[in-house]
Amino acid sequence: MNLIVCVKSTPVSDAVLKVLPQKPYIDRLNLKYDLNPYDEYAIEAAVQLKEQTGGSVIAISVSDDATSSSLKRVLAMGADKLIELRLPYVGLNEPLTIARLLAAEIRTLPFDLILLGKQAIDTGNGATGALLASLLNLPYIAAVTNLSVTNGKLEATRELEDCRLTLECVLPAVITTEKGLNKPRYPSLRDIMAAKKKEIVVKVVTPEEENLDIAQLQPPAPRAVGKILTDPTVAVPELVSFLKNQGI
Amino acid sequence: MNVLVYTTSKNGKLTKASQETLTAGRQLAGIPQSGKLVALIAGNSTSDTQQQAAFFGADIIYTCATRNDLGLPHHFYPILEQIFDKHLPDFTLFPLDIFTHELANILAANKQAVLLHDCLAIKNENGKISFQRPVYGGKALAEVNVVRLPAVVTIRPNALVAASCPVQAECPTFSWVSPDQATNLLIKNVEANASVRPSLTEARIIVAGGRGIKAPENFTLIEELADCLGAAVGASRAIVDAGWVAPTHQVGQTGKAVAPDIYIACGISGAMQHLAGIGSAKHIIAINTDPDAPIFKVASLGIVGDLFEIIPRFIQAWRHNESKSS
Repeated sequence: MNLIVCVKSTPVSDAVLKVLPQKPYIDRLNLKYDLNPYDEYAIEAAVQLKEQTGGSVIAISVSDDATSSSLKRVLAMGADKLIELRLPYVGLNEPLTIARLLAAEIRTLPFDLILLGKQAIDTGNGATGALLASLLNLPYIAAVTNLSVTNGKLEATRELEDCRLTLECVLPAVITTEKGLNKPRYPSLRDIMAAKKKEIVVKVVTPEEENLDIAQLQPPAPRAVGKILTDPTVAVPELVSFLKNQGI
Repeated sequence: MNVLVYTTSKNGKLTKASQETLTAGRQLAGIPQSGKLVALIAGNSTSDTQQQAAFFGADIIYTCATRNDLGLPHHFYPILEQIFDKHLPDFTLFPLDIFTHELANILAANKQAVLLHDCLAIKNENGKISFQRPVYGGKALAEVNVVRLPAVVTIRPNALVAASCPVQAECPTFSWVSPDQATNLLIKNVEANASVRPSLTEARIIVAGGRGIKAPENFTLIEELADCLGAAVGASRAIVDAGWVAPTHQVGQTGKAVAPDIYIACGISGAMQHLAGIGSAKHIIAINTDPDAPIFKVASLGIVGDLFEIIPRFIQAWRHNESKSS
């Protein structure tokens, strides 16, 4: 199978953000970037499918100078090639902007399945996969937790609020990956060395004008200092009356 | 502005999140002068449900079959599109859950609309509309101006306060296209979720467990506390990664961002990415043995103690109290 994985590099989840009054609104100096956690499931799923069926895994990312180096991990994890669509700055872009850039590149490539993480932990929209599928007019299954491919058909499981659904569609298709789908591999030293020989293509691209404008960013309001109790005989009745006062 | 709001009813009642979203819709419809607020009610509804929608300001109300009967967001989409095409709303709002998240994505993709997810507040400065939404998993709040319309917006449940605004509504009948059509996906199996607990995103109270529960079997204590309070059940990344609890329960930057009135963190130390996901909770209650745990810095009420002692004591006291008052 020819597999395409769209990935993003995001500030790591334990990063402490310093919010700035002007664009780009966050202090990127010393900010650590890594692959978006949900994208790791997408890469792992693609590499597993390649191991079963042969073919290739191409990773595509809309990147900038700060995010570029952390993307190389996709090659160590088993992708054959990395295509970077380079912008001067990747920030909190609209999902449609990103989907259009990805779609333009993907139209030039052969593929059976496109995989993305279900959402990026910085922008948090979880929409790029759906928009990409719509632009390419392909079947789309979101937040997949189980996946198999047989005879050109894809079967995938996903959860909604009130049920778990097993769905089928004909390839080519677009899926997004949810935690629980697989355990992303830790690349060995050998994988990391082998990745150094793999191809990275960098293309400078121009995005369309965005329809959303971030006027400002602010840290969440600090929370009021609460009461700390240590004696259970005091704490338990206190908790009961706290909840009662909240109308529980 | 003309506004379309997708709402759902459960047991003939408009959900709280739907009421909040209608309130947001009413606010937008009033900018700059009175536009129409159209409500689509998905779910078994009666004239009572329609009255509730009118009570929260809907001028035109459509009702249709439950979304569960219709399966996927893809299947429901043609119905939504029918209403969208008829009214061409400037804003289409949804109360955010997994289903509407995808429905909003599909609508935005098909209508080339501007898309904004997980909004917490709406600001109107002399007709200039902006939305507040969390970014970086809740570590920062962005104020976003919408430069072009139409826009599709999802609203996080429990973030806004529903306010009544009774109007005289019209309830036109309409027939919807068959949900079997217009999809390239085949549903092979549906497994209903047997849980009777509220969902994490809509719950008023969440009880969550972390590494402090020490072993997977002890998670039943968290569930017992949750059931005692009618709460949803959450978990920290640590115990999800350890395989103790299903990923659907994970709260935090790499799980669900939540906005309950009360979040009770049991044996959760409060890693940065977890705190980011609970930043919108009105009150955080923490039970932890470590007095230096970061969770205590954000707690309205912190109990330094062993959850294996505190929780059973609390359940006993709560039940005693309940039986006294009933």
